[in-house]
Amino acid sequence: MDRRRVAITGLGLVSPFGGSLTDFFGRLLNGESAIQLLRLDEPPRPLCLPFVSCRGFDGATVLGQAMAATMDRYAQLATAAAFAAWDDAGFDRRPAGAERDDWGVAWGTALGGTLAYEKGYRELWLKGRERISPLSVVLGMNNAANAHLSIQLGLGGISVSYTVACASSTIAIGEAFRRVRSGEAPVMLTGGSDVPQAYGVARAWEALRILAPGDAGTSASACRPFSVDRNGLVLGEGGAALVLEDWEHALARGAEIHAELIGYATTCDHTHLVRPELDGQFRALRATLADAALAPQEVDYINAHGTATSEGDPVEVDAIRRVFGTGTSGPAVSGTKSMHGHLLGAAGAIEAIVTVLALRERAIPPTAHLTTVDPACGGIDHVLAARHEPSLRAALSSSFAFGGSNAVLAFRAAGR
Amino acid sequence: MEPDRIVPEALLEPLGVDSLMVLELMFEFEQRFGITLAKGTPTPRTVSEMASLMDRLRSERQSSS
Repeated sequence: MDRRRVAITGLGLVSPFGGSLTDFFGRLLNGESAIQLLRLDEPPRPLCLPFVSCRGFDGATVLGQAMAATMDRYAQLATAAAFAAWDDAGFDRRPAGAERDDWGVAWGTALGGTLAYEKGYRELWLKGRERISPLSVVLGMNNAANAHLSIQLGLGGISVSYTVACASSTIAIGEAFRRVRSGEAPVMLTGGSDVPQAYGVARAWEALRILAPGDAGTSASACRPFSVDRNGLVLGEGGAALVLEDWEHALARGAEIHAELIGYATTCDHTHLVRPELDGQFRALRATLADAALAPQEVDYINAHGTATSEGDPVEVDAIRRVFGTGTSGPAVSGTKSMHGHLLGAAGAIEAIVTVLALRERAIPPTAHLTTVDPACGGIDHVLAARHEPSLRAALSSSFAFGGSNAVLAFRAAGR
Repeated sequence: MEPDRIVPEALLEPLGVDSLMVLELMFEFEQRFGITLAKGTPTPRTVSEMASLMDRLRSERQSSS
């Protein structure tokens, strides 16, 4: 099969720090955390938890009142991130044009428009209303984000969303990658967005007993992947987008290429709904290397899934050791959820962006707040402080989801 | 949008009020006026039909209160 090379020509993010992509990456290199204490003041009792909010993001301000009114916040974050990526790629925003009939969107969301649904539930069950907004369905549906993006940007090819828990956007990016690589689409817009702060959703996660505790003073360092004192994950909201483009198409129009996407694989543990398995993750890593035609020693960096749960981190490190060997001669590994939190369906997309920026800027962000590595997570090259690596060539980004779905992307620095 | 485009005979759709927005507006009327539109209530297509619907609902509410 003729395989096209796949360029990443656009990156867009609603940064939890509120600034630009450059500002975001600089803060990660400094080990700065965007995690703060969130208080949801709802009946029957308030919920306080360390959380990552895009506090400065107001959909109506960024997108205009008319557009924002037809979107749940998850689709607003998607659209803002996607517009930024689209602008970055140098494409114009316009809603029509037959020349984009084979361009598409593959989006990732674990939750969809939960705030819209929750608003409806309140109307019915708390306020005793008999009817709810007729927009509830189109605000809440899981394919709202990709639909809006296709409409706004005139993309007439595939328009689809992937809902695979924490691997949603890694799989969305991977499936978009396959479309470009096969020649089916010259351009694919991809990424993910999620908003886990609907009260009922946050309470459901709390009930799983895997959320890191924290107060106003300790929330910033609440997420400590691979650390001996790790204490659970920190949820966050966000939107992150990438533009994937046929390499020749990008060259022909003189686009700047941030990095090359060279491989992707997804596997399933097929054993348990939430307990991760070494074998499934190992197979995903190995299959991604095979897909990218990379030898293990060619991988310089892994942006790990690293959620900071007691069960998840050691299994992931086991899988890394099994593929790359034990010791510090293997790839550098960091878990950046320690700073930007776990964005669920947007996690893979924000981490793909971090990985691309690492390759482009030749700098690896650390796992923040990692002072003592858990012996069960040892035997790999943990990045404790930012590193500048002039020869950074190839990197992976992993996502391992509830449901047992594993997905890994492989990237190569452009021009190296 | 120029206010002089919003004339009684103007169709709602070209003014940017699509079918979803009409549904949302009818829902809003129900909330504001505390009434429930009958199932067969025709969907307004023009500014004047929309205004007539609102007038009718307001007068119905006043006469029932």
